[in-house]
Amino acid sequence: MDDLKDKMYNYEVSPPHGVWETIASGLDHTTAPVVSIDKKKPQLFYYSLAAASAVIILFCVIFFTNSSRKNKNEELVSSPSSNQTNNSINKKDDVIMTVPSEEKNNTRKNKTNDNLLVKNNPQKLNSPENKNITDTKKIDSLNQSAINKNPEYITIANPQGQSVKVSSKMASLMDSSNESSPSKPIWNKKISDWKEIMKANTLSPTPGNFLDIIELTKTVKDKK
Amino acid sequence: MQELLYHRFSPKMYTVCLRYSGDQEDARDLLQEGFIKIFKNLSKYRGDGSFEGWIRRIFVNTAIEHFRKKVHLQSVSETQERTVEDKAWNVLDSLAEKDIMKMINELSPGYKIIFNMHVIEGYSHKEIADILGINEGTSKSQLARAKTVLRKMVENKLNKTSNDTVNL
Repeated sequence: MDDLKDKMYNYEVSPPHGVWETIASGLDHTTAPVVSIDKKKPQLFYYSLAAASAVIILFCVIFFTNSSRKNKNEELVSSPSSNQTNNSINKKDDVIMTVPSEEKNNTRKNKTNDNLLVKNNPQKLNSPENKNITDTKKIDSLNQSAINKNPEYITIANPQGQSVKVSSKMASLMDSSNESSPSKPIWNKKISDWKEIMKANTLSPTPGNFLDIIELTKTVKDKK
Repeated sequence: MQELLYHRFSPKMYTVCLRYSGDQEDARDLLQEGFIKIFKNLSKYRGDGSFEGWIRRIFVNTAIEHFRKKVHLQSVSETQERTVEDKAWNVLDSLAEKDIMKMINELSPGYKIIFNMHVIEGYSHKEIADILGINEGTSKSQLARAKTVLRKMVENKLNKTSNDTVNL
């Protein structure tokens, strides 16, 4: 039985001629297998496209918002030159405070900022009673939006046009040093003393070292 | 590559086709159909078993599909099954392949399929029953009947041979 199986299993008979040609032609004419397009693929493509578009739009919005904000700030820094002319200000002595600000939630600080705004309003600066403000330092006007955008720091443009960031506390000090509008009566005496010290000092004060110089000078005086 | 495969396996597969069809024209058609299936499904061969075995299964299935509708398998009684003697197989084994092939082709289509699948290809009766959609009993009884017919054929052949020898 096994012999029969092996014998017949391996038995070979040559096929007639021309079979391969028929098979080959059949294979040539056979259409390529149609690969069904997965319906998820186009959906995925459109989702990807939508996501990419959303990301690009978001990026553009953020970019242009930031750039416009930056431009506004730059304008604010550069614009005081015209005010200087209008106010007959000596450029050499000018320190232009561009962004007086405080945190919105801090009512005390906001009050200070409001004072600064009122004082720094160009129209108000043009008024005769405020013209003497420009003798030593002039605080230029800034708009309310700038305050809200930069609540912690203000930007000061020095006479060379370089912008310097200082804290709002520093701004308040500088503002209070203005004798014509003493917003902080408690500081008046202190500020008067500081001014005397500064006048006597040969070191040039900057927003960064202003207080240090005063403290140093005081210490030296006390030792003497 | 396809042509190489064809030339390598076509003689054996053509024999398979001949055993199932019994007719050269049908065998030729089966050979073509089988090879086209193989070439289209080459990528599905996973290398689990032998490549020749995979090809042979495709040819057997193609042949079965081709003849299934024509064949009406009927169960035969157990008594008929027992009539087959092993002695006949010894005679059948001694015959040449060509003669055996001729005898197999003289079987009716139903017997031929079962005989080929079980005896030559080695399918079990359960597998045959599953493939052909019949009972295992039917497969067994058809095989028994096929063996009986073959035995008669062998006996006839032997008688004819002995008669020819006597006449000489």
